[in-house]
Amino acid sequence: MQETNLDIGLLDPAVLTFYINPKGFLALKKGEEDIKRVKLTRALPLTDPDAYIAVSDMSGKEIGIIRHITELPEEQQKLLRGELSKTYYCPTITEVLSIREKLGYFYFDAKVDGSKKTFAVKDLSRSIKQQDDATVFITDVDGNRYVIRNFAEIHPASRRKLEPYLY
Amino acid sequence: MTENNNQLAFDLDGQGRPCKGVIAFAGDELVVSENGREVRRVSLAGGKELVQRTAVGCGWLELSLKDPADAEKALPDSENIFLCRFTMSAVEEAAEFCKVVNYYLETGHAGEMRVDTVRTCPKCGRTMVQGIDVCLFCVDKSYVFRRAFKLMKPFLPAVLFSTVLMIVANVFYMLMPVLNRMMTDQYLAPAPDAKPMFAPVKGILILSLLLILVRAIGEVLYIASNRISIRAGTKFSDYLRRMVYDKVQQLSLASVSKKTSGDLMKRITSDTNQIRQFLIDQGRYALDMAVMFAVILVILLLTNWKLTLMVFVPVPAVLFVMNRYWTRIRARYEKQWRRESRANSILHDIIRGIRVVKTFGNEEREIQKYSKASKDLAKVCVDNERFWAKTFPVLGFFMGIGEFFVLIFGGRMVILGEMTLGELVQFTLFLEYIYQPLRWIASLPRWLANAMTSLVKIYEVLDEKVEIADAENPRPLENVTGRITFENVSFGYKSYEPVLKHIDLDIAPGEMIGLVGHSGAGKSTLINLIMRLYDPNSGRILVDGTDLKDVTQKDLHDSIGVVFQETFLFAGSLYDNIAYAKEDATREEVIAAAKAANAHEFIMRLPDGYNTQIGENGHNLSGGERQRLAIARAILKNPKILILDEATSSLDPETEEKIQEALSRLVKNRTTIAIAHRLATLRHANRLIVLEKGEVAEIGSHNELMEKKGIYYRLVMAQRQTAKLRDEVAAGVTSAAGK
Repeated sequence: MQETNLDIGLLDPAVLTFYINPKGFLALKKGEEDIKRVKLTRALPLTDPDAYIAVSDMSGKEIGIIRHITELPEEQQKLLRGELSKTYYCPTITEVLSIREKLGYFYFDAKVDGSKKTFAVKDLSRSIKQQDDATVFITDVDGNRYVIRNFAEIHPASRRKLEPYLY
Repeated sequence: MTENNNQLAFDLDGQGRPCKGVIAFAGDELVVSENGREVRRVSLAGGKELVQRTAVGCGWLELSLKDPADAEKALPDSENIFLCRFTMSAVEEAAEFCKVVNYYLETGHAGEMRVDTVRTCPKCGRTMVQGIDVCLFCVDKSYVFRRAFKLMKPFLPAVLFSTVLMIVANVFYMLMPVLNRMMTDQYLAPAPDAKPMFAPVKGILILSLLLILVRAIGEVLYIASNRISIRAGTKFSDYLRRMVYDKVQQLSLASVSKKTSGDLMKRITSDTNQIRQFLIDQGRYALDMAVMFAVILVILLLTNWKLTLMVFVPVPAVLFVMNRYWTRIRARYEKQWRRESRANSILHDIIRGIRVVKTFGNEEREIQKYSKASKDLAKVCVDNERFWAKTFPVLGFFMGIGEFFVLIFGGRMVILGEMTLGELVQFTLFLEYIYQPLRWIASLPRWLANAMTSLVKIYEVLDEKVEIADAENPRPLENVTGRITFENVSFGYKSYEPVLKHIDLDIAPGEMIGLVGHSGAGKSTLINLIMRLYDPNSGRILVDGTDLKDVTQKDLHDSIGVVFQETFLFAGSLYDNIAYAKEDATREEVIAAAKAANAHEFIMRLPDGYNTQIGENGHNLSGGERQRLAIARAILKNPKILILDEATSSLDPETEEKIQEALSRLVKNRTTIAIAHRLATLRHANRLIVLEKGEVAEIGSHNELMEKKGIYYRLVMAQRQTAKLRDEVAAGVTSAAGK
């Protein structure tokens, strides 16, 4: 295959220092440059959430891409993971208690991050995605996203309840 | 200071952990509490705008400042004040809250929050689905079928008549066991107290003839019943199909775009058919079976009540099992429906995009993609059939196990003289008639599951709110001059993500406006609003001083002509495709429009001229030819308002010249709004409107904006630079080739 020689604007982790600005937002010192507020966007949020994280300013201009979060020092990784978890809010389903269908809407009673929660799902084929054999993402009618980290490891009763709805 | 009582409940704390929080707009400040504790109090005195931001699964509010610190002016958002975070369940209410606060920041007056959606069911407390008034969990399950019967009301007399014929036919069939009993008890194995009416041979002959007659009458009635039912069923599916199709046509672009074409086609075609099959065919059987069941039950009970009870011993257990598996059976058929819809969508996409598939040489990949979808569908179908093949005979066996009890105990009764042989024969023959409804009940879950799935899909379409509806008493839009006015219009495809903000514009009749801006600036959205494919979230748009919401969409669309970058052509002749714009156009008008659009020339070169049949979406025409047909359509329509959305962007310079020439004829005496990335094509516009991040950034003629040296100037310079570079590269290639 011919080499494409395309540049994706990878950032050099050695010159990056992320910090929280006085107003509580993420900011970045990139060498000498101080960008007072930045936002992070995952390029592959479902398949590889820790790789190819774009850093942009608030006008949307991309500053560059971090190839993998683990290229950053431990402390910085922690900071970035914390920020990413605020913008990619995806609580974990630990148990599926029941799934009941009503006129095309599926009501899930589930344990989400330890608490019982009911949410409605429409259009199953678009709302339930099994990313690989392990991870299942469910999006409810409001746009909230839930995840089952390891489908094979949840309780067999939960697995039996959800299995018919996986496409 | 204005007193008000607006507040928003939110459910995540600043770090994104679940909490119970409230942000209250009290006086001129915002007070934020998390888990009952005040965590922030922010004065609105220096506030510019309350901004809602959304990410994946959550959103948050922050207050931007009028006058950020000098050092931060280049990046003013870094000085914003964070307020609260919430999941997507609160996002609509948060948008309303922002509106109220922002209205206060602009005017100094506080309004009231308008959150008219009840979010939880008062009965069960579950979250209710947006856009549906009833809690789907608490609504009566029979509602699906009660509503279906309402749908078939116009066809009910025919269906009932057909059912009555069927019942009468079955009554005749039921006479046959009685005649059999008479033959057995009076002539074949006469009981000691038997009193035959005729001599044995004559009696057998008469009873045999009666059997033939009864059977023949039954068959004739059955045929008549079927014919009536088929006719009613066909009309019912036609009625349903049209009802669903009409509704799809009424829905806004946003609603239709949410569904795939395969999905919509399946609802219009096979779901309506499935419902017909269930309501007309199975419904008729159900009534017939119920009557038969009741009549035979009485006869059997009168003949021998003990044997009759034996027949029904296993029925409750079977019904219990069926009920237990109901949800799983439904899920199986839902899955099958989804896979069918997916396979249809893939097929539809591949066929529509066949040119792209071929140009990328991806035939093999597409074959595999469809094969996988088809295999997945086949697998579910096989699984379901296998499940059914295993379940149905087992259910049927247990349902019919009473028959064996009847033979054992009935035979014993005959031997002991408690029952005549004829009575047992009649009993066992009647059993067939009673097992027919019982076996039908065993297969009912499958029919119900299929029909419920299809009914629910149809209701989804029928219940979809028509977002863009005509006013109840619309005002006529006559003698349109073409004045278009935007009054403080804001709009977002999601109300909390504005695409256009506070647009004020007045476009004079006959004026040509060029819309300019970067991708995503809101140009196409603005013309979508003029065409009323969407309604603004706030503000209004007027045509000749009348709000678009006060006129019918028909009147509005009659006044607007559009030429898109991609022209959709329907399968049919070139003539039909031009005349699509005006149903009653004369031949002269169609040809004149084609001539004005520079299309006549290429049409006449074709052997069949205007009668040339074009394939789906005109695949045998070039881009320029398709575009000229679109212009011909617009000319034929003769609208007062013309919208050109990248009408010439995908054409080569020579073709573009021809089309520009045609367009220059078209725009005369019409209000024209044109979008073009190639800015040179807009330089003759009376005014250019530059949009930047959803706001009007610059307005003026080409010369005025070039003098201003703002965004437009930079865009023009960038394009000139690109053109220059392209020319240099082309010159380099030519000279290299010359060497």
